[in-house]
Amino acid sequence: MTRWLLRRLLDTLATFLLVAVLVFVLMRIAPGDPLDRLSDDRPMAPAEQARLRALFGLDQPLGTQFLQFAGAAVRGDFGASIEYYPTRVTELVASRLGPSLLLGATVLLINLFAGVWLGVLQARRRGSRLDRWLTRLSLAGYAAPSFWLGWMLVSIFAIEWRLLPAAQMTDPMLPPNAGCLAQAADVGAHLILPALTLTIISLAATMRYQRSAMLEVLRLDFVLAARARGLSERRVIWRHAWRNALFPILTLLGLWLPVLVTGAVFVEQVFNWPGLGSLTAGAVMTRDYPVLMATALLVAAAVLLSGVLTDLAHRLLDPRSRDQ
Amino acid sequence: MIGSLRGTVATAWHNPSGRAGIVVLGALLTFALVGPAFLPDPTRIPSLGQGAAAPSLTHWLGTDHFGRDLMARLATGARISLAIAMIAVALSLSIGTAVGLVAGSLGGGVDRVLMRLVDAALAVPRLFILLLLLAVWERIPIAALVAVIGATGWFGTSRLVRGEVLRLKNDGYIQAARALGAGRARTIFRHLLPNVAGVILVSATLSMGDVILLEAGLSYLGVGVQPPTPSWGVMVFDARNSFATAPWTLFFPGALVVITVLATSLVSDALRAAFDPRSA
Repeated sequence: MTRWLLRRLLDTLATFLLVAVLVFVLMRIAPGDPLDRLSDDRPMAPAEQARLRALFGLDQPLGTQFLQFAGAAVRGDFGASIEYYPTRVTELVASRLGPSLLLGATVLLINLFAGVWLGVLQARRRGSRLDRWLTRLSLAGYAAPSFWLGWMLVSIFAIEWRLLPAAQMTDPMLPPNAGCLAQAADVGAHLILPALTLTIISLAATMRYQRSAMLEVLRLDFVLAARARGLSERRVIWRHAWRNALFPILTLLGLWLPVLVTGAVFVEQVFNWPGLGSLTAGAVMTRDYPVLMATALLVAAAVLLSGVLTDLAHRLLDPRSRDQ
Repeated sequence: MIGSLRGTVATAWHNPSGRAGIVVLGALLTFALVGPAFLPDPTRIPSLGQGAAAPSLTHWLGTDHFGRDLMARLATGARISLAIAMIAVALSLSIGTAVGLVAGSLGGGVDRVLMRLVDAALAVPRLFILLLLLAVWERIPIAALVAVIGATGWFGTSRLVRGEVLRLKNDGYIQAARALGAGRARTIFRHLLPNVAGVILVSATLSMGDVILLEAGLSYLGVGVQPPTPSWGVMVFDARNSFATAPWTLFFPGALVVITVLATSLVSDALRAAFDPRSA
């Protein structure tokens, strides 16, 4: 097992290095210059432009630029942000990590519970009207552009009904000496709408996976045997069938992450949530390419690692997968 | 095998959800093709300071904050969004199928190198790849946008096709074709390709929806279709400042995206069910 894990990690590292090259190349093959935007508003002297290009290393040959980028990246340094100069990109990313993790974990948790429960429900009532409508509704959620859904929820819950806050993570009017509970409640209230938006767009995948995994299992003999022994339906479903329909859900973890991260870029932008998503969206609008490269690499690392974790979980839980 | 492809589409048509999806997509295509001819110019700003008007008999879906007819903008937007999606998907399917066929049938070092590259590309979510490519680009031409979206969508398809090829490679009829002296090219195009067509078709309908969402997202972030050309994503972006007083400017473009993507998912589901009845 240890040898397998070691080999898998080395393999992942090789892929990641390739990703780094890819990210660098992608950034530089597009026409246009990250510094063009700075001269949009007012004319800039050529000497000034040259100084800035030297400052960000853009005057070096591509190969040198890549080596500098890679060398610094290995040390955890992605250079200075252009928009927030001279703040380091690493610093910027670190300050945005917490809120992103909070939002992501909340969505994952709701998604897991609601998606599993609804998926099992659908499998039990396969082909019924309930099954069909749950599929259609969840697909409609998947079909909604996350930013549009976010603005729609803002217009209903924040503007029309004035129930929930529409932006940021905390209320600036909240006194700084407010109790722990009040502060947590404040963050919680700000969390509801972004989390709801992300859940709606990502729930379909979970339900679908759970439904088909459950259908596979429900056809098997041991479920019939459990029923024949007169066990209660609840016990048959959750204790016997569901436990065996859990594996495919593991695979889903690897698929979720890209969806969630992509959704977060838009949803955090809409709700001004101070996470990595809104940092990325802002970097796109201001062409802050060092920030973009760092977030892309971070996301890639997360996706690759979640792949390793999924495989590891599979091997730990299912002895059959170890033979392959 | 092409006959069975037709049979599959027929089966999908008999599935109520599938039929609904096909009908809706047909209606949208008609709206996109014919609509702009009967509607006012979507980019002309009638007179300044007019503001957004609610839906009425003259403007069925109302106007935006510049006084531009919303339905006209939606129709032109449909034309752009659907055209981008169709061309980009065709592009990425062709690349993906070619790479998958090559990797799967040649095997060996070629396969390893190609799949390693695909692994790396799949690790970065497509949106991020596109953002990296488009962020520094001044005024992206639509043709370049289509090319870039198409060129970043084939990784999954190539994996899928490669898997199918590996599965089919040892099937009796492929072996028989080889034994009868069919060359590599003939085996690939006459025997393998028709049998992976089903997988490709399902993946095509599925990625249609993804690309429509992706294009809307890119346009929303300002790195897709450039205003004043209307695209559904641009329209949502425009509406974010006016929706509090003119909610229709926000509602309609997004709702049209939902309808379109939902229709493609229903068609894709129906096709998948027709190929593999057990999965339904």
